[in-house]
Amino acid sequence: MKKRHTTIITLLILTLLGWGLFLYQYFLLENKDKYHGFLYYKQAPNFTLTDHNGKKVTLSEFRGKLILINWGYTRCPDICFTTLSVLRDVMKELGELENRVQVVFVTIDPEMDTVEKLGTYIPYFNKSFIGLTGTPQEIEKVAQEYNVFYLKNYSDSWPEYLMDHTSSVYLIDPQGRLFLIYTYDKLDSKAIAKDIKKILK
Amino acid sequence: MKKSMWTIVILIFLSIHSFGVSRIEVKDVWVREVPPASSVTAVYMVIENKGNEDDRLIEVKTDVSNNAVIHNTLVDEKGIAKMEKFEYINIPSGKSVELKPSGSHIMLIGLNKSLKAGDKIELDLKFEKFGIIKARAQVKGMQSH
Ligand SMILES: [Cu+2]
Repeated sequence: MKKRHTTIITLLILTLLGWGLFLYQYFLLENKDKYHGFLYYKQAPNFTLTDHNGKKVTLSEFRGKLILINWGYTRCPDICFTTLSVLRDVMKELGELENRVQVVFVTIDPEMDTVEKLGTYIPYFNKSFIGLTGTPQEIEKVAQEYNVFYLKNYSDSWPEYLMDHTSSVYLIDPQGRLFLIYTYDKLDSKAIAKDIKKILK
Repeated sequence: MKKSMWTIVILIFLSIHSFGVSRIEVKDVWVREVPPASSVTAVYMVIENKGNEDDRLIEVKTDVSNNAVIHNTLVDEKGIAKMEKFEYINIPSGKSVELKPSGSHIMLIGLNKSLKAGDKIELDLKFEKFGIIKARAQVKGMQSH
């Protein structure tokens, strides 16, 4: 009789443990899944480049703010324009939280995108956005550290080259961690703003 | 007898000729306003073929830029965006083809004046069968879409 009781209690405990484990995993997995962007999670490499006013800027200066970095060039009316307009809409979605977010555009065409060019291009989207350029060597180093690809694309039909380039947007959290990546198909201003609100909570 | 034979020949000839027709209509043509620093922009539109024969957009000309190129934007599986030059865009009969952001567009390279929202530009769109259509495109800023 006593032995049977022990068996039943053991079974009950095991069942409860099983359920507990299941629920724990279920919520943990859901937690992992809760961002619109792809989780990346590594320390964001630091760098110093020149902003669109000609001032040297170091990434770590923005520690405490959430940073959205996108990579492109000003002679790109389709993809880069769309990306910057989406980021502009993200800022609108954020309302007051806007002050805790910094959008940074790094040119991958430093030969054409001078400080002056960026100075008229970037503020067009939002006065708070920062455009960064540098020497071709500086840009190459930053791009390598961030796994960003770019290549000049020459055509025989016109003199100016165009660029093939990584179109993803990188999210760096206020602690300086490269936290999420948005590939071009994930550039949805409402969903990105929702992620940011979660992180800044 | 001879007369009716001729009528039949003419009728057959006419029917063959009217069998394949491309009837192109172009609408919602717009140009992206770009910041003053940029010498490049893109034109988007909807092209409809109301005929019963396929056609192709093969050439675009405009006074506002040195080059007008048929382009397609592609983002590959690694997230790398490229713009490719296309020789033509197919406009199948009975179908509507949209040139839109992140897809096909007419790239204007080497703008010789800056385009402001509200401006209008003229374009000659050349179709292989239908011939040239003169289109007018409105420059749109960010607010308007
Ligand atoms: Cu293009």
